[in-house]
Amino acid sequence: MTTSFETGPGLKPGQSVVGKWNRGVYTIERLLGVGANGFVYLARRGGRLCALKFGRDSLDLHTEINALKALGRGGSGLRGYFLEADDAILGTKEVPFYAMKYVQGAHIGQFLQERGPDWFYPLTLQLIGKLAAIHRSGYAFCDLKRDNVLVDRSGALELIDYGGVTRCGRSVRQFTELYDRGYWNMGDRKAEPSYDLFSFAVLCLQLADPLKELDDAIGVMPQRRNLETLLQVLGRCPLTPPVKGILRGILEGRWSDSGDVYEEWRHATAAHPGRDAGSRDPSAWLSGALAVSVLAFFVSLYILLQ
Amino acid sequence: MKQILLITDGCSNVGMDPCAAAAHARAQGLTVNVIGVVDQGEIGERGAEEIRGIAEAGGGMSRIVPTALLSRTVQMMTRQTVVHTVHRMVASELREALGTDDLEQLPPAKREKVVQVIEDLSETAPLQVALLVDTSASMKPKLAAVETAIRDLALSLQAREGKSLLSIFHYPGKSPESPDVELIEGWTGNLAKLDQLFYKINMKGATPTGPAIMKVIQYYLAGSIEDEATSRQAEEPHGEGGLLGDYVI
Repeated sequence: MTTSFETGPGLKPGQSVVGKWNRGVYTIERLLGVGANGFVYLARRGGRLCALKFGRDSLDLHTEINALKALGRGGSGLRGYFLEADDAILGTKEVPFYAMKYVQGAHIGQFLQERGPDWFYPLTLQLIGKLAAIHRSGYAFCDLKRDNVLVDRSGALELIDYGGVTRCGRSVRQFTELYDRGYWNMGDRKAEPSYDLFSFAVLCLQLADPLKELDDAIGVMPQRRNLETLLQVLGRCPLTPPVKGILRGILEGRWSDSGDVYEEWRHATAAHPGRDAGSRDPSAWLSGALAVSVLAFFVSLYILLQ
Repeated sequence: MKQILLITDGCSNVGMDPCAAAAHARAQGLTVNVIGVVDQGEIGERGAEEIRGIAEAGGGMSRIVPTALLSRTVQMMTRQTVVHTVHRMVASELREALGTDDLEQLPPAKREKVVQVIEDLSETAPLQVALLVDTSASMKPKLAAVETAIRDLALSLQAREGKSLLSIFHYPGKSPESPDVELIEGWTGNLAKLDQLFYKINMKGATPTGPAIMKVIQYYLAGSIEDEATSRQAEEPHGEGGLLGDYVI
């Protein structure tokens, strides 16, 4: 029957994990993270680093493995992400896991904060491309959120955590409220390209909103969970009009094909390489801040000398 | 597949042992899940024990969560219970066909197919969930969150390929004829039209968890919570055995 591991496999650095079927030998480096549905370890096989995922629920893990295999077979661009699935023999227990590429980087929000908003368009274009590739294989990603989008130092973007991947037409089984169109009363929870597109649009708003209102959205009051709220946020985002137009269309449910969105996004962002003129120079707001503090200095000096 | 989901914040204090009631439900082919909902950890040891015990006797699972996690937990439990019920059904066929019901004993290629079948059935099998909500006085501040969670569950169930129905009860009831439990909404697939689920509920102190579960079982079997009800017009989705007959592993 299914096995559940509330506490995880409890592997220690240096411990060996041997696969029962493929006889792969992994040496555990450290625990990378604990998620809602599993435990991910950094491990070494031969000289190469990879990540091992152990599930909380073995049936859920197998479902995820099936989806990853299907994506690897299709033209989803995921070839090389999923490495193998096997059962680890740990003492007397056999515990299923899978090995995947180790993606090193910061989540897209951190990356933009550190490297500046000039990266917004190149990163979002890559992201919509990744989603479109998954959709071409007949699947939807479903649990798109900031934490599941990693960017490495070179600016290459990768989706992680495929636990929500679901065949198109089925019901979504894993999602995060903020990015869920059902939560915003803007549609159902069917896995389909438009479901991911909606999450993509919310993520764009979250990243671009100068007030960062959506960083704390678990507390959005039920009566504020509607299109109006999102359009309000969109209105104040420093994005170009064509890009705003696309995002608005997605939020209103007028886009259903992510390939089309990719093309439009590419056009819209190629014509406008930077942000709006007002904020193009990252030092602009810094000099503004400097001016304010100089002014404050003189005001206090004046008050002091009165 | 038939489930009862009990949402409560404490101990029963009236009527029969709720664990025995849950055992009744299980014997009738229903799975009983329990969520204890807390704001500042006020479920005592006895309450936690009872919550665990009801789920155990009802063949389901239990969690104690803060109101902020209620929606997520309700959906996770409902879905996992469906998957595990299907898995149990498939397991008996596996034993016959392959001599083992342990997924991990199957070579990966076969396992992939079995998981596929479980997934297909979980999505397409008809499902009924009876929500039983504790509305005794201490639950009052949590009812808004419960309502959100129920609507959210309805939204998720609507997206399933298989037919999905919800019904909603609260306990204790407010009328003297039905002091144990009250039906808010009978089997429905669409909750969007309802304005307010917990409107004009008279909050009382009594918590007849056991008797309330018994009434819900009766509703499943007879389509009514009235004592005199003898009509057997409850909508019976296809038997579970018949479902599996369509699949060859």
